[in-house]
Amino acid sequence: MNSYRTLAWKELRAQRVTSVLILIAVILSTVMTTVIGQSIGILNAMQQSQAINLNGNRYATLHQLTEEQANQLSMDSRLSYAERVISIGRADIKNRKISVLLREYMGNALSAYPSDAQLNSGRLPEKAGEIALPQNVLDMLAFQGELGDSVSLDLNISRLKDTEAGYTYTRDFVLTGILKSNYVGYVSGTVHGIVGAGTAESVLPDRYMRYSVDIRTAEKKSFQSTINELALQYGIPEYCIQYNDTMLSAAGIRYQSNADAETGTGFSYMVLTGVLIGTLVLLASGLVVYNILKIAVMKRVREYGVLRAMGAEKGKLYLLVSLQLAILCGIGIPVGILLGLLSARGVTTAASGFFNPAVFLAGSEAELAAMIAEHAGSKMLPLLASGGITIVFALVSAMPAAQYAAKVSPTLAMLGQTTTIRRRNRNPKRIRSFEAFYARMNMKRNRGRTAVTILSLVMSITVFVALQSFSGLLDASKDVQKMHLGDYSVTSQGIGFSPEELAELKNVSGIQSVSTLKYSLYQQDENGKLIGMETSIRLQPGETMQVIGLDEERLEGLDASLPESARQALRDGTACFIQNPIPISVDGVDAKNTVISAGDKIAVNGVSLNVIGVLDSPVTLENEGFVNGVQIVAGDSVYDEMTLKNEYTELYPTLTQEADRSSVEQAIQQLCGKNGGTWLSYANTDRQLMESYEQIRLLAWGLILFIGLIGILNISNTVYTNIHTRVAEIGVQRAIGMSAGSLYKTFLWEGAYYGMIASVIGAAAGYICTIFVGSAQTDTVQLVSIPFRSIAEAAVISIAACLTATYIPLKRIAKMNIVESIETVE
Amino acid sequence: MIIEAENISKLYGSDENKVIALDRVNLKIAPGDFISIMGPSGSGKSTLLHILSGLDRPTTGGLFYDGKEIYSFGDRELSAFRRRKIGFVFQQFQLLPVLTAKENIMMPLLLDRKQPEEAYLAQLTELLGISDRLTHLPHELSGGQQQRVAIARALIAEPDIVFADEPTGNLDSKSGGEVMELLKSIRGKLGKTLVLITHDHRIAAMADRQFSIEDGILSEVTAR
Repeated sequence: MNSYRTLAWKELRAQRVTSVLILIAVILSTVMTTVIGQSIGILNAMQQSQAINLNGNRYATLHQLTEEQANQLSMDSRLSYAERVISIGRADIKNRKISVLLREYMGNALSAYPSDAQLNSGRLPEKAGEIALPQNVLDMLAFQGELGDSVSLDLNISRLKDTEAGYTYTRDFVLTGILKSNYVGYVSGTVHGIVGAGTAESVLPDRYMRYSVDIRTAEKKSFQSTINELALQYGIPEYCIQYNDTMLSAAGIRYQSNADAETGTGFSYMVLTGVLIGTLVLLASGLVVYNILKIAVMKRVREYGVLRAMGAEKGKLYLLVSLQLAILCGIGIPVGILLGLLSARGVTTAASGFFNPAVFLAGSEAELAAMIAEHAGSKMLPLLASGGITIVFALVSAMPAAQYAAKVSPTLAMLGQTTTIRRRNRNPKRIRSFEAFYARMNMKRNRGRTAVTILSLVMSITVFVALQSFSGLLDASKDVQKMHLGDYSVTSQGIGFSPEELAELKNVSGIQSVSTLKYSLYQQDENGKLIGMETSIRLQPGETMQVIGLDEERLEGLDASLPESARQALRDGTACFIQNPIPISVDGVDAKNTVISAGDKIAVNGVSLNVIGVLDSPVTLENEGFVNGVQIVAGDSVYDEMTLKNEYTELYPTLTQEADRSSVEQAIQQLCGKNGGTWLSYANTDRQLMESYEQIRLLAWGLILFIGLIGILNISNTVYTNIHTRVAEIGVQRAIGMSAGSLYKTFLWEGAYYGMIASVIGAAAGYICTIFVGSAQTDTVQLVSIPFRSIAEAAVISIAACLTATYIPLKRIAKMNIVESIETVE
Repeated sequence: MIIEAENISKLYGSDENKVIALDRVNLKIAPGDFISIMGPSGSGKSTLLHILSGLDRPTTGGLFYDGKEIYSFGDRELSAFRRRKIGFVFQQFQLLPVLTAKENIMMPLLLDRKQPEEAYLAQLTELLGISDRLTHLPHELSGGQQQRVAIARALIAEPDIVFADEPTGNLDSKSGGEVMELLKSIRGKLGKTLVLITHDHRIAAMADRQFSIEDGILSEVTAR
């Protein structure tokens, strides 16, 4: 033997089983930490992909720009992406609450909207007068023709905050392509069509030749300041800046909210999730290495004692342990990283390939792959962390044993370490199940090992519960989904639906509830007097008065922070919300507009109301809030008093889970047939949004699986070690009359206790994490609803996993010979 | 309970590595017998004890308890038989380290979902002189005390027969003597069958029937 390096290597080879166990622990730990690191990157990419799919690959859009402004922006070095789009007008689809907005994409602009550009057949428009429309739009238009046929559309184009009514025209287009149906636009009532280059110039008067420029800033961090600089430099008013909230929050970019001009959070839940989950997982993985190494090195204490007796110095002993670890880590960590990278890729492939690829960025799979590569491949930090954490835990776990062997006398070291058992309660109550009792006692035998096992499991459960809650936050589609109520939108602007018809609809089998809205519009006559309305509100010229009656639940939901007294006032019909008119400018001069504040008192047709809040956005699809005026939003019954009408204009039925959609739709169709109503199903929209979210959900589950594996590995290792170190004891128990079944039960109880204790602690920790993330979202610490389902799932899964993990090493017991077991020297 | 061993042999290994641990042993044990089996290391005495007590199957031959071949039992039945009919005392005491002395004693009953009869437990522990040690963990007891706890555990289920595998082998001579006196006295008071193996002549001489074993061949030293 030339050196300790040779001895270290020889020892490793001599104790193959232990060495292989440690090597597996090192590899698995590295695999898991690598997968987690990679998956979080990929998850982030997925979330951004989802956001792109929903709302375009753009951080913001600057509207109503002149050609010169648009050209200058295209060349601005502060922007990594700036492409121009011109809207040529909006065509309402008859009997539907949907309009199709035709846009001419210039240069590479269409690449930002992958979900709008997927062709079913034909080709994208190239020349002026050519058009491509989604299949669902053509169906709604009852278009019977083929590609190459003419499509005639009545279009209207208006400018933002314009005093003019807009420009209306009719135009025939040549259909060159049929796009795949995209239902996301249903929630806002707008779907998109594409027209060929030069169309805008050929159909629009100069006044309406205004460009929208989709942008992405070169620097994410300075996004808001760049926007502010651009606005100042190019004279872009605030109302012409449209932030893409979905994309900005997915990318974790701080920005100023368009609606209320307050600072938006721009908070990346992904970052928080990543940090939290990453820490937990790294710790859990580290504990696996710790547990296995600790047991393995403790077994070697005797050998170290022999070495000491032979004259090895303490330092040499440390060197020997370190060298052995270095060899194992040197092999295990690179292998682990490699396997981790492959596993992460596998998870991603499964995640992106499992569902309908057409929904998830079909047509831009290359872009998705590039994004995944960008987020996964180049992240060296998780890879370094994976290796680092394994080495740290390996050293932390191995050194105490080496230290013990180095410190104690060689004789004691050769005897091996004995653990002293401590028990406080020595007079337990009546022991009903010896197996369960003995399992509890066994857990006290090596408290450190028990604690580490439970801790690693707790971390897995915490991550499970927390990740389930987080994954909801990661869902970029939620913002879009919450924009629509119910499963259908049923509207009748003219006649409206009577209370009797509503009652009939509510009685239709499969309809769970119906959210309602009543709407009345009052305009001023030439003298500035409201027609059909007496009110204390003094409107500015051109403004309208709109009275809206909502059902109780929706009305109170408009402001979740309302005190109970205000809610009661809403229910009593003595209070209302107000939405003030939008300030407009005429020829560059700001026009005065009516402003009503919370706390004001108003009177409408003899009904007095206290204004308890001012709303930011319209609550009705009616005219999409474009008809400027004061909106009074109150309860259903007080609406009747104010307007002396009781018809409903918008109904939003929500179905039961087992509802038969076709029979419900038949009933809705009948209802609309009677009074000229129109209806729209959100089924396809929700399905599309759900499917885009499924990708993220699946990946999150992949992550959970890996984390679960860490816990199971630790339990299996602990149980295996417990069996291994208690062979003689097991033999004695069997000799005294314990059946193999009874012995199984003891170990299974141990596993179940691990699961139960870890479930309770993990559920609490997971809940705390959920509150923590929820607080980060709202900037206030508030209790969120307890995720009972996730907790119950975690408890059941972890106990089942513990039992399975325990059962596997138990097979060894069945093969044990009682006499040989008793004679085993431990 | 009458125990009959008929032509019991135990072989280990095969071909040139074959070792005959027991060679056609015949033995009949009557209720209340006190039997000692003596022999040098490797003579086969432990193997015989293990086979007689239902812990290890013979290669050939049969073992009958009141005419029933116990090795025809399944694991559950054989385990129940051992905890109800047989008591064990081991050389290394073999107490479960996480259980108190009382819990160790109660273990065979607890496995049967039974609670000990307090009066009997008190009598037993009193006899063994460990009444004040019942809440102690094994590592808090001396070797002699641990062996007394082991004897109490062997007797708690009121078995018909107690097997003791060199019960004094791990004790000093004073403690060993005390333990043997206790075993003898309890056997007398409770009327149990006692089979012990030893390589100590003095201990072997305490038995009513003394056997010796050498190279797996059993022979009775004392005539009945």
